[in-house]
Amino acid sequence: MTSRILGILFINLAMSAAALGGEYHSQTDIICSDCHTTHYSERGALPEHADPGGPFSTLLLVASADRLCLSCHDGTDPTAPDVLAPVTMYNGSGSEFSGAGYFSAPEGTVSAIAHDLGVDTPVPFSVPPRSMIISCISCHDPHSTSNYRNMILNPDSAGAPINIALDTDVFENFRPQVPPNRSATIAAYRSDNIGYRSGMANWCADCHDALFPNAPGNPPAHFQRHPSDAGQDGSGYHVNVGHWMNGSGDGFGITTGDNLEGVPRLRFQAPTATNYGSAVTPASNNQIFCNSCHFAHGGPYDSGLLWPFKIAGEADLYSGCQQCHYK
Amino acid sequence: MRNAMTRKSTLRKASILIIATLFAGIALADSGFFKTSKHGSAAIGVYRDSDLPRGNCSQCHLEHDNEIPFDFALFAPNDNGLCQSSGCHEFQYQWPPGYYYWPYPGNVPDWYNSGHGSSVNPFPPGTTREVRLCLQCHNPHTSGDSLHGAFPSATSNLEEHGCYSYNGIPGQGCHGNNNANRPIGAVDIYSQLLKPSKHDVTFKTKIHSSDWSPNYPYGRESRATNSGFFSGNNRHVECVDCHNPHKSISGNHIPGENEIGGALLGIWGVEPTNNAGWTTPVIFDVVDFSSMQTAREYQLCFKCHSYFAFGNIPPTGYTDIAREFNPANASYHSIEDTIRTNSYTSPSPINGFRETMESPWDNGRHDQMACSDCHSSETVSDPKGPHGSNQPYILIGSPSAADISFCTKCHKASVYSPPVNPGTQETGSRFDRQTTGEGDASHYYHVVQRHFGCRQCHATRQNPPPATPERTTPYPTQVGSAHGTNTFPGLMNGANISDYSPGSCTPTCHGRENYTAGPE
Repeated sequence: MTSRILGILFINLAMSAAALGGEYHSQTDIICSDCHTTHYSERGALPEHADPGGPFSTLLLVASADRLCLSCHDGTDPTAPDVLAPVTMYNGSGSEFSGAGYFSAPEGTVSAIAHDLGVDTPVPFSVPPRSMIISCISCHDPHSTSNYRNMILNPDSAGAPINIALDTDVFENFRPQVPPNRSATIAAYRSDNIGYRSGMANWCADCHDALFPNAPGNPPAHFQRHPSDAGQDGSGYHVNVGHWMNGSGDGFGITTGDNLEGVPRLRFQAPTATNYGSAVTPASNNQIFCNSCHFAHGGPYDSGLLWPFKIAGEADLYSGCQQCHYK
Repeated sequence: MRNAMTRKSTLRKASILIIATLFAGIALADSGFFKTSKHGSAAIGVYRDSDLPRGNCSQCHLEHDNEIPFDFALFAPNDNGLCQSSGCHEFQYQWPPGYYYWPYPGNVPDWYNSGHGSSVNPFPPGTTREVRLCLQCHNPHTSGDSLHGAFPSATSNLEEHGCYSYNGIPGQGCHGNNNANRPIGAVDIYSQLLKPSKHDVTFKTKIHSSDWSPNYPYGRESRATNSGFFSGNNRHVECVDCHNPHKSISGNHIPGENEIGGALLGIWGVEPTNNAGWTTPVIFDVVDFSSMQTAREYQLCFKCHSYFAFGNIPPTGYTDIAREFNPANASYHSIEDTIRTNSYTSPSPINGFRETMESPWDNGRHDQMACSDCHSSETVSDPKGPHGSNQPYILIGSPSAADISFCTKCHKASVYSPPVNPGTQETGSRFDRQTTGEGDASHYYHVVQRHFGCRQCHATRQNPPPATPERTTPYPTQVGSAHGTNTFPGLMNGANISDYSPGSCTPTCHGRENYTAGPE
């Protein structure tokens, strides 16, 4: 009876993955048994790669989804994007980090510089205030979704789905290969390989909903909180469009943390982009969005920021702000 | 045709580009200066939150962290209260002694009692931006330009341009000459500064901010006598040398007194220790202009126009006016002290109780006066004060030796230039026929009949005297000669008058004349 139920579940899972047809974990790069076991209780012996103490929820091989994900994405699998510090795979790639950055520690550790995995923590900027235990599957569906990077459609499990479609809202220059190989993975996941058009801020604000909507300010202020999805070319905005487009001087540099003022150009949304090229071309209508300043997973600096915004003595202290505001 | 259209289009685009570039240059004058500003300094910058780096943007802007959001994501409402909170600009600062530290809104009540701080009038007119907002004058991110670098004291415009410019355009500011742009209560000073004779506030830039440290981030100047801060290459004048924008109030000095008007509150001057006549005062006490009753206008002027500023070597064209106004001199204009001995400047028995002075000095007293009574615009309706004049030396009238109009602004023309021969009638002057007993020994004869100007005899020192002094054409006047002299009483000048005492005059025009004269 049990095996029949598990068999049905397996078939359902396989079919749902095939139906969604997401980017990754949906093709021949991975198979169900890489993550799940259906026979945990039948013989009493540990399946290959399984943790002791099972069976585990959703028939996982290991005790938690985070542990399962990080078993590949912790840098031990050279073909899988590494999301756990220390990350070295992007060194020399042209990008300092991957698009989402990295977690500072495995699950169960509180960190100031990244999303905390497996820890019950208050959700910043949520209305009403709440806490949650965030895990990899809080944001990504390992069985794939129609969204870019298998991002789930509804992070807070309420409201309408949020679509962030590859080649519509987000663009890539290089795609990961199947089966994966190290160089293709690096090329695909490095930060500079991704161009943005829309949708990311809405997705983040599904949980951090206090940030949206942003109350209008009193002139000459336009906003009361730092805006997102706001173009450089907004009328009277307190930014220096010419400086942003020029891309040199204050705020702009080659490397973050090299003791020279300036960091690589922050990421931006290009609201009229139709392809990767147009999505990464600086223009007067470029928009700031959450990922302009923050790595989704985390990064080397407080709050997953891309530059050492709050570290005294750093040459790059003001760099991110200066790229747009040039004060 | 197509070429013409293309050319026109190109020209139009070029024009737009030029205009846009100019506008961008004006609007974005703060571009890139914050990092080197005092607000942004890692050593002395803003430090509201000790958990954040000093000078960090987030000391004021919380990005999206504020529980109660305010404009610009500031930690508090975007008004003066933000600046005057969190241990920033809310203290009564106790600066080290020995120096003057540039105007600083450390005393919050002073600010709100000041003319600027109490003005709720909008600037520019038609907006809701009140004059009293700190941001009317200051850019907390610091402004600057490629020529001068960062502007001192985080002002939006460089020095005097903050007073009379707007968006970098001179004359469009609060004290500019664009009547439509001036807020209610503000006067046009810019027009005065365009005149040929003026205190040239554009002459030096950033001189006040050259001496600063983290302990006094807005610059200072020495209060020591002959310190060098006011002489040589440091000689300068800026608006804030005479006006403290954080403390001054509207109003001029009261005519007939030498106390300061409200416009000079909050700055400082020096009080000389006077000795014998025509000796140069070399000892000065600093006077803070903390009230209009205790500060004197001349004390401000002496700060730059006396030994205090330049020692014994005045700059070319300048004199030591503290020496000239010394009440121990034989005669002087009464900017320091009343004229204690000249009974002819007020009605008395010896002049038949005739008033010899114009209003407001016609009140029966030996009044005092202020430097700005004579040094101001030549146009009565212009703002008071020695900002500028179309007459030399920033005078209210011509200093020409043949022109009596300047002197008769205060000294009654009916007394010193009577339109008809008064004969033996009392004019009020000691130099009339009624007193001297001689028709030629009178102002009427010299001024009206011979057309001599006041300064042919009074207040024009020349050494050697002019070769042909008996002329009505003007000859060069000497700076400061009307201030005072120890040569003779009555400001007799020692040029055309080689010897004088009441009742005995030896001019270079004729021989000694002795006549009856009233007491000094």
